[in-house]
Amino acid sequence: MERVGPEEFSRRVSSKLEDLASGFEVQYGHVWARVEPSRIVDVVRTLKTDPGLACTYFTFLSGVDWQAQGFEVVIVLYSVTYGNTVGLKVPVPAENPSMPTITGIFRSADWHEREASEMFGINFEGHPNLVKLYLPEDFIGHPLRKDFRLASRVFKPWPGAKDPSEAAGGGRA
Amino acid sequence: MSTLIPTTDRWLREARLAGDATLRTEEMVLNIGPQHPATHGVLRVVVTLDGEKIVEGTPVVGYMHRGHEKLFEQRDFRQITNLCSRMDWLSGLNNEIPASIAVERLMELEVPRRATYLRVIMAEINRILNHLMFTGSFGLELGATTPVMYAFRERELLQSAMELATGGRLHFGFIRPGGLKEDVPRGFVDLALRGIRQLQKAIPDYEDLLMGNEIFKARTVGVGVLDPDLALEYGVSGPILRGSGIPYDVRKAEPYLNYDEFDFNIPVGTNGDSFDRYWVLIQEMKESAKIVEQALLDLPAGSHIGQVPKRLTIPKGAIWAKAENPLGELGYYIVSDGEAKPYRMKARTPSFNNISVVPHMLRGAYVPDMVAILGSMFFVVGDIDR
Repeated sequence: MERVGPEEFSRRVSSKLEDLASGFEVQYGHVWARVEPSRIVDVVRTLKTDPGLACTYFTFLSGVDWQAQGFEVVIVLYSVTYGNTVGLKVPVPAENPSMPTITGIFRSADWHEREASEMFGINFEGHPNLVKLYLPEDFIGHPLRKDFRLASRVFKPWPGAKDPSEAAGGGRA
Repeated sequence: MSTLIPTTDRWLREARLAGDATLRTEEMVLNIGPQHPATHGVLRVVVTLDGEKIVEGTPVVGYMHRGHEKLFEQRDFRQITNLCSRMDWLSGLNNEIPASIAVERLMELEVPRRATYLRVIMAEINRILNHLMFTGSFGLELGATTPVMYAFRERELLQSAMELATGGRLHFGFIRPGGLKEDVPRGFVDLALRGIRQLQKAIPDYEDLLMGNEIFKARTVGVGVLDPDLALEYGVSGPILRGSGIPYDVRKAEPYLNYDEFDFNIPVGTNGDSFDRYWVLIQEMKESAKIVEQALLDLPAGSHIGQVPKRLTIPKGAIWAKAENPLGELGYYIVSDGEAKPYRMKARTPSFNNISVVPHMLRGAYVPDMVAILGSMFFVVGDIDR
């Protein structure tokens, strides 16, 4: 184990990835970067295989729905060797959201991509088996999208007048 | 592989060796679960069998999916910590901690020292409660009915200490952004110390009872070996990763609360088999007991909660915060748009990643080994499905 501070690790990441990613920053001790979908496979491969980065630990992959601004796929990797976290934010368009799969580099992304795919409707090109993970086969809709309303909230707001968002004049669905 | 070769398999092999031309064999698909005693909840495993050998085993998840991530978006952060405790129901308090830490970091809330100490004490007691459960149930799955009785005997005092403080036995709902719901009552420290002392006396018995048992060794040594590189690629964490020899523990790697002030070790296995995972589980209880003891004897006076505004409004931004849960690394990725509720809250639960590696471990194993492998993966289905 060879511990490296997050600032120093961020410099390493940005020097290795300067042509492939942008917006490098350190937040709460973790390195973050923005990556275009077309570059994501190269970025993840570099992070995993470069001996100075060694981000071999796959933490998670998930999404955020920014509605009109499209989706954001978030991938977090960790380097056990250097004790650092690298987070990647991949912007994906709202219309036909799609990005290449990273299962070729991290086989573990399989389940994570299937979950993101059913929950947000994001397509992962080249995924070997992009079927639903949690939801039944015939489920219609993508539950974690913002336009997917929680059925029980349509009938009855919860927990009634105690909902803190009501004090501020209305909350989200 | 197990030294115990199941009979059908031996019979098949003998028939093949004897050149029995009339013998036709074919692969069979067998559903194990969703309701099966070895799966702690409703996990289904579809196995393709060649005799008693597993050709392919795929876990089918989702039977316990309750949509936590959607529900988070409907709730205030004080309500969210209570919801978090429902994911992994064996370690409710540990689930609440990283959610609370994330909010504290985003809002720059200060947590009093007493509250931090109590969080550590209760998190470690909860870790012991969880580990005791698996100590007992793993034996039960392999046919040893006694260890679970002992484990529950030791659980009771610690469980009572938690109940005394929080009023709950499973879902404690005790952590609040900024501190704790309330201070611990008189008698908590004594009761917890008694529980820890009783546990420390009992652990050598557990070690002798199962780890010194020939049948237990035959069922677990060399069974379900998890390669360390594969474990990293799959983001496996907790006792399972450490059983494979990788000393990654969030309490040491990225200390939160005040874990860096306590003296404890990270037990690490060597072979990555079911036996080593169980060994790590038992050793971790000793280390947790050490932490609880140090913290209880050193517990500072003071307030149980810091200055927290009436309305929790989280500044715009995103944060990834993680902690070492009994079963592995639990983290939350929270995106806030400046309101009382999170815009998006992703829960990265340890069992999800830990179970996704299972197909690699089942390939080539025998059916009875499957129970030993799944049992030593220490998972909670609610933690996989969320």
